[in-house]
Amino acid sequence: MLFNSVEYLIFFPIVFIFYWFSFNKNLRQQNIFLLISSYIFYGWWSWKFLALLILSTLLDYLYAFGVNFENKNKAKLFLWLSIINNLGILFIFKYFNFFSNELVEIFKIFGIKLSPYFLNFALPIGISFYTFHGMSYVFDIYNKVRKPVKNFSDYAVFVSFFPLLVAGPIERANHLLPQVQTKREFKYIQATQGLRLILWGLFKKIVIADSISLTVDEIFNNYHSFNSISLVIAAIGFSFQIYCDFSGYSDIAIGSAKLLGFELLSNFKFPYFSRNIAEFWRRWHISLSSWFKDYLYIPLGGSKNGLPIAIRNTFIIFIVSGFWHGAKWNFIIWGFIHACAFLPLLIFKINRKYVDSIVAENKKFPNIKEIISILTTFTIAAFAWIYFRSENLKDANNIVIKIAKNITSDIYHHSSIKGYSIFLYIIPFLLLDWKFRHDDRIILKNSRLRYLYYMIFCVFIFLYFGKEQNFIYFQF
Amino acid sequence: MKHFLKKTLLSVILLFVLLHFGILLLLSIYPQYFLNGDSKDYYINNFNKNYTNERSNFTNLIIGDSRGLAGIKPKLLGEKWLNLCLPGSNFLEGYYTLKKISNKNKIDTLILNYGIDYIEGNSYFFNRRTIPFNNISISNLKNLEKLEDTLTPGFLYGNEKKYENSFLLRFEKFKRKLKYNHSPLLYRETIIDGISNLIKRSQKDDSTINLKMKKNNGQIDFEQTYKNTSIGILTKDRTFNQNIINRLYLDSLLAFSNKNKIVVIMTISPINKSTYLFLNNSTYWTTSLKYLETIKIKYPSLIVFKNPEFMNNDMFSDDRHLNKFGAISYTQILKKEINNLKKFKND
Repeated sequence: MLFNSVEYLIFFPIVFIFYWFSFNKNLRQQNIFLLISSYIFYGWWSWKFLALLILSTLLDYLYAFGVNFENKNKAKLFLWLSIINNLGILFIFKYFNFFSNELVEIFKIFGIKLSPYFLNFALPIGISFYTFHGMSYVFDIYNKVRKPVKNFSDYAVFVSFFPLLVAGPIERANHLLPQVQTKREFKYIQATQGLRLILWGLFKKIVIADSISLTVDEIFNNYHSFNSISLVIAAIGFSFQIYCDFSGYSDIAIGSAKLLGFELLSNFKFPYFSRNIAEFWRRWHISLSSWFKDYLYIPLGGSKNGLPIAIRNTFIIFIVSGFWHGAKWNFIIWGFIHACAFLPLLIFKINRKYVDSIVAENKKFPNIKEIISILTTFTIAAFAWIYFRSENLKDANNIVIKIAKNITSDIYHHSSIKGYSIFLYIIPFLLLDWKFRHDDRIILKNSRLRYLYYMIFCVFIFLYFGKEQNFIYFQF
Repeated sequence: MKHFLKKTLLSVILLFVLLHFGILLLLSIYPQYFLNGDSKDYYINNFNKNYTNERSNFTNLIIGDSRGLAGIKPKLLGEKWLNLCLPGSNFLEGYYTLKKISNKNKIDTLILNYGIDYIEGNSYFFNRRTIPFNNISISNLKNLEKLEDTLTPGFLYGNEKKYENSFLLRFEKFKRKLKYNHSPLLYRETIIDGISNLIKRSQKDDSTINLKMKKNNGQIDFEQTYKNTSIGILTKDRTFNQNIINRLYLDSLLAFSNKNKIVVIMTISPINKSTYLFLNNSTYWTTSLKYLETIKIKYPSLIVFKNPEFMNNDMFSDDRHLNKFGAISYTQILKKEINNLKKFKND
């Protein structure tokens, strides 16, 4: 079920009504109802793959007890079983065909011709998200951060909670499980915040991302027919498309959860106003970057064992992050580009320069230096997005080469430049994002003005609501 | 909780009312932009309506889809020829156009010009054009729906399988009635197109389109590009299978013509060379040609011109429509065939 579908428009109010009016007196019943609703939400897409989700949930639930053993060897054994189980599921459904193909290519180098064996499975939606939920839970128990949950339905709600099931935010057991195990109270402020987030998310997805995608798709799919400036416009367009698409999804997820009395982790904080790549990654897909930081970067030694180890670890997490997105070389290169952009910050020890501050704090506009840093960071991100968006590595390279070769000459051929129209969406959105960059976009002081804002959003959503387009992150 | 639900509900109602009035206002001030998002369609339909409801000197008619509208220049055929083709239409709209115009005019010759896929297929633009422009009376719509129920569910939507579910079909019919009566919220999908066209509008274009159509006896030259190599019909590996409702309307149209002694010539819009190279010898193309043979047998009075099956790519403005030069060339071919026919009859 998609958040931007009529089905969800009917599904969510029904869940909301039963959740608060029929099951609110008994926490156990309320959680079971939530679990069933989540399974219906997932099963709407595929009942077959629902079985995989339940199996994965059950196994991690059981491994958690093994990992909790006092005997370290036994605990380690169960930890590895859980890792193998989760990564095994991911490998079979997401990466098997990639490795099979690459293996054949390697053999070809040595003159051995083999034909690759492919598994004809559809990629189960949300597999990368729910396996990471499960792993984080087991890791936390292994690290003695928390105790295993006795009640299966509580744990299953943590893994399968429908707002975050298919595309995150990737939650932590320590943050979400206590909320699952505690009686939720309806809070007016939380609910209105939730509604506003849903509206803002729908606006970003339906009005901005889907409108931009028409132009972006046309240019990327027929890049041979467009000049270099149009390709640059498409890269900028995709940068905003993916931002509005994914942050829109996250906002709807967080908003839906708020309406049910849950607080989820924040996933985006105005990433395109970042002043360097390190800041960008503290603001983009925060739940994934912090997951990799806590469960990969730090266990590998982080930055505390000298610069060479820190560089190695940086490249590992960025490349793994790229690979997490998809079994294609272009995703790996996308991660590699970000790692390369991160490298100078690490060497000059400025990667933690902008940890808490926001750009132009207490000012209306940024200064020249800030503008230059924002534009540089955005250029790097947009360049990397070319690799992320392209069908394959060859297409991405061709686009980059075409831009590099022709950009100075194409700038004079105004008539052959296509795609300008996307700025009609991007510029107002950027202005809104800038105005509310202090993370208070939802709380405008003037209540009438706030109401007007959201009514305008509603009108736009209503008018643009039509073809349901998948969220980009569903494929991961 | 109650306060939250009450406030949310009130906001939804307020939004609903505001949107309703907003769209109603747009529909009444700018029907040309907001009835289906495209002002050109509005003017073409208006032109068609004006001529079908009035008495005129035209005795020869061209009825068809957008390919006929772009591809046949009536003035080249003679002063008494009129082009009343409607984009996206098929035999259904054609039948009603002929019936209406015959109420006040005596028609001698009729050219039916459709693309082969429109001769075969569903009424893809029924909801987008025929309904908002009220090109069919409400009683005829009811009859058509009865036919649809018994023969091909979803004929009027272009996706029969989806509408085999009778609840969905009933719901769509309900929405269609509302749209027919210009209920504002049913025009939501085309509002953005309308706003975009309203902003981009050129007053000159708007006011001259009717004049241009009058000057050309109803024909319109399509885009100014003068070559198209794209493939216009992508169906290849299946058999040509005419939709039963489409066939019934062709039956009705020919029966009506017979009764009123109208000579009917069916011409198939030529495809571009790229499409022809793609389709030639395919199952779809060979069975389509076979169909044209069978209708000649089924309707002995019907004259069918199969040629030219295709024309060069430089005669096309897009993958389906002839450009200005293509239209001149194609009309001259038709004229020659019609003259041969007359000669043959006289002999």
